[in-house]
Amino acid sequence: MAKAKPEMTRILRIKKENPYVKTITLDMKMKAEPGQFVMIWLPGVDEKPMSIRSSNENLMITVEARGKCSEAFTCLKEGNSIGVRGPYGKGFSHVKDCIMVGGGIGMPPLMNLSESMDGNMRMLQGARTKNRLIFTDRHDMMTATDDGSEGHRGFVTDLLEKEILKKKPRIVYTCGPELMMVKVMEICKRHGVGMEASLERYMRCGIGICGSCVCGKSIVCLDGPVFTMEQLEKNPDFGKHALSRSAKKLTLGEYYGGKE
Amino acid sequence: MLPTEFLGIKLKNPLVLASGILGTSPEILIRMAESGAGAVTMKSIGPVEREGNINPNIVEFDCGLLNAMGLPGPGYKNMAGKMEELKNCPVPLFASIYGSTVQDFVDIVKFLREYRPAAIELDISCPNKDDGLSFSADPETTRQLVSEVRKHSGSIPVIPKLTPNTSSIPLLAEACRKGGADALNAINTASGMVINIEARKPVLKYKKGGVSGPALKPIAVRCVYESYEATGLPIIGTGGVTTGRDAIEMIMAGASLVGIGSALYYRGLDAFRLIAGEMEEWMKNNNIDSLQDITGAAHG
Ligand SMILES: Cc1cc2nc3c(=O)[nH]c(=O)nc-3n(C[C@H](O)[C@H](O)[C@H](O)COP(=O)(O)OP(=O)(O)OC[C@H]3O[C@@H](n4cnc5c(N)ncnc54)[C@H](O)[C@@H]3O)c2cc1C
Ligand SMILES: Cc1cc2nc3c(=O)[nH]c(=O)nc-3n(C[C@H](O)[C@H](O)[C@H](O)COP(=O)(O)O)c2cc1C
Ligand code: FES
Repeated sequence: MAKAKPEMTRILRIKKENPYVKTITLDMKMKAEPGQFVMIWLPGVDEKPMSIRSSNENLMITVEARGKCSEAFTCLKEGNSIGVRGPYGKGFSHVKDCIMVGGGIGMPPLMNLSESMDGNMRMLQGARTKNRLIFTDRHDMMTATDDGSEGHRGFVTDLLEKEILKKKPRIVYTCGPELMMVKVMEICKRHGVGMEASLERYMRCGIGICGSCVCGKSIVCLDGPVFTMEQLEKNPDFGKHALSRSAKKLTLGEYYGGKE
Repeated sequence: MLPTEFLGIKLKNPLVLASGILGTSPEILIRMAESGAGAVTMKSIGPVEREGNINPNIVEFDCGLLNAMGLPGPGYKNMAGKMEELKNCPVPLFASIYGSTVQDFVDIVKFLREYRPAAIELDISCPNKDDGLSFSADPETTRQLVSEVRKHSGSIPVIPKLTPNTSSIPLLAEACRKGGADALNAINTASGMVINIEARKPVLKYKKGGVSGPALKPIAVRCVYESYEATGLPIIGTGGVTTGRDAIEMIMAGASLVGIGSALYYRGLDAFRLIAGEMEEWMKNNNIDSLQDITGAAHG
């Protein structure tokens, strides 16, 4: 089992994906599955769960400046060091002939999964606007933006429905805003397609003992973050509730401060 | 072999989920009950909503865990819904409470009474909140708190949880007994620190934290042993138990029940079934029929 102890690791490269998002390559090798995550420690600041963007060669993470800590992550420079522990959680299955649906900063684990497969997949990405999209150097990426500044104008789930009608995939993988994933699940159910989704909940220990990340009967950091449609259908809190930092059960709207 | 009785409460085995280990929600407490725990303890409930400390809240070292969650919780006034759901808990439910004043404890006990938990633990032993140990600082303060709480808990047993961060466990345990404690829980975590030498900083944002897991076991066994000698009260022995042999050791030191916390990390969520199985096997091999026969066996 992975030791729950951060190891200070040097940043080798930083790549700007868009004005808000950076990919950080670390001087560390890690055996991990796509969908698993690491805990990243910035000494003196905070520690946050981050999906593994790649572990084929060096460990990579992709961070979006959202609040204080993630903002600090994106201000780091090559040569700086950060603490890494993990890998944690359960990743995605590995079924070819799939569609991946990512929203915003949900893309990194899907990119990781896609790179572990050779072809036979379709990638869809949704974002608010053109300069929020990431990984656009991948030429097979189909995109949707809320304002129509790039790709389809509207929801990425519109694209999903179209793609399923074109040719039914064997499975759909998704990660992004939870209400988007709820919609993805509805569509998959309607078309009889299997689906797996990666969930986000407030995390402290990352190793399944503190109870911060509980969603229904599931411990997201241990049983997830990736769950199957069968598991999500039985989870009364999926798409509905999340625990606050004080373990108060909030609606997702309250949890995301009206931003979800 | 393992069924046991504690303060008149019947348990299918002596293994109790320790407070603060996954006990934040009714769903998870019930899942732990279904996974083989004899009883489950809720995360400590406080007087007001608290967000707890900033991450890192936990770090592992060679033979244990160091945590400083800082008692995050919604506060008792936001607990009615959770308490209602916990009426479906299939095993005895222990509540755990903390406060900064005697009145805090009394208010929470009054709130809890109508939900009839099997017992109420008093967390006067949290090293990860600035005043977390104030009620353990001297025996007279401890006695007064326990006595005040006991007046309001009615027929619900009260179990103070002892800290190893004290100069004398016998004095602390005896103060609890004098205050009217029905049983004791020994122990909470021991105050400690882990520094990452590359970062040149304590790993935990709170800097210090509480040691749990294997490193805590000999300290816990000693505290249980001393509390048993000093008071003769029933004891929940908690600290570093990860195997059936550890649990038997705790019982021989004088514990009637055994708290299981960090073992959920070391052995996985199946820890209760694994540890219970190992206890039964040891008992079979040593011709022991009942736990009562070995409780406190290391004394005398
Ligand atoms: C399994 C998992 C994988 C993640 N992968 C990535 C990733 O690849 N890239 C990325 O940029 N972000 C990822 N995140 C989100 C990331 O952990 C932070 O939540 C986010 O960076 C905001 O943190 P902040 O402190 O900057 O913002 P804050 O202002 O502190 O918080 C903003 C919001 O982020 C969420 N959040 C904050 N702290 C945590 C925490 N400790 N655990 C979970 N959610 C939290 C809460 O919803 C909060 O309201 C992931 C989260 C999880 C749970
Ligand atoms: C993450 C974590 C949170 C804890 N929270 C509480 C708590 O809220 N109240 C309490 O009385 N003890 C708390 N404890 C202490 C445990 O209940 C237990 O006494 C201690 O961990 C020793 O047992 P162990 O070695 O089996 O883990 C916590 C321990 C850990 C590791
Ligand atoms: S973050 Fe602690 S249990 Fe998941």
